[in-house]
Amino acid sequence: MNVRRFESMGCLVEVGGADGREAAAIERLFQARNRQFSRFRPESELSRVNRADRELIVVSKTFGQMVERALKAARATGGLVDPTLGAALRTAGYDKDFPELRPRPEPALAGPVGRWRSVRVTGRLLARPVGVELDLNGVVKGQTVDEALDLLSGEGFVSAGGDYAGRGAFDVALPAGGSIRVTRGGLATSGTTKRRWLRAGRWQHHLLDPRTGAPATSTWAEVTVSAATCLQADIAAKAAFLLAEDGPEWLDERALPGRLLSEDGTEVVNESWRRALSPTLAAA
Amino acid sequence: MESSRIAAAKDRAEQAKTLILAAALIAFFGAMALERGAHAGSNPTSSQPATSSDESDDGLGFFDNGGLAPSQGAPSTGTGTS
Repeated sequence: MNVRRFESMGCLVEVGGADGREAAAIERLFQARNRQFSRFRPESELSRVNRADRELIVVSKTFGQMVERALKAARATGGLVDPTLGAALRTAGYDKDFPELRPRPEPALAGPVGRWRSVRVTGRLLARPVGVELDLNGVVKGQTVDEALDLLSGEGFVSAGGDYAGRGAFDVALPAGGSIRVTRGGLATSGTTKRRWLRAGRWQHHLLDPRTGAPATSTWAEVTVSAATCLQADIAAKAAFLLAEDGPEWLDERALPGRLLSEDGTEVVNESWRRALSPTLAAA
Repeated sequence: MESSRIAAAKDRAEQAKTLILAAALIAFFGAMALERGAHAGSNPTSSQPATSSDESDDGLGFFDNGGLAPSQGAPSTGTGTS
């Protein structure tokens, strides 16, 4: 299968099964979303919203829909995947595009805790307390992968960093070795081994605990989850990471297969993952 | 006669639009005010995420299953870390 590649949203995007016109449309979609939702571009709509000094803001339809998805994700994870951690990410040191981050001597501080319940959106009307900074990265990439897949006319896949969605069955490499066949839907991995940086000699990472406003302490280094869409898989992987040792059971309660890698490389798979890979168990 | 009826209908349509807009704004800000009232006095640095019964959702209806099977060949792509 023909695989096309381009860079967007700070990662490599791979598109399998697209013709030239479809591949171009997918790249345009990614670049448009990156321009609209980047925290690091002063001219992005997200930056404009975060700078606004009034509570009520008129946003674009796409922006309003993305905030709606983010609030649904927050609700579905009990607030673990929170779209209001933009200021906390800056405070932790994630204040420019990842390749530009350098070790700094000053220690990172905890930022504001999550306040997703203070955000309201109705169509193109967005309301949030002045000073609450949105970071929609928790939903934008996964949603864009899902929408990009819809631009393919036949079988194929879209993969961006840890986020995958496919139509048809494709084998997908897993972190730290091994692979799996995704026959339907999405697969996503969240973890701390790539997007991390040093502050005062201590590693910081982008998966913040909304309860503390600081990088989360987790049992896991990487969590991979399968779900009906890439967006769902990504949200569930982040939640399972933040739930630490409760992550596998939380995924099982939702019948979501999960593979979790600890810092020392130990692999743990939950019951749903085992069942999905065992034809006997899956049929039972 | 005909034009005055049309003008009157246009006026009624405009009034209806205004009423709908006003109702939407009242509902929007009412919900915000209720939200603030519900959380007044709560500690913003609490170590637990806020919960409220009207918005609690265990996520059981939010997620659906994808499909997995054992790998059957070389990977076409990968899931890295996002």
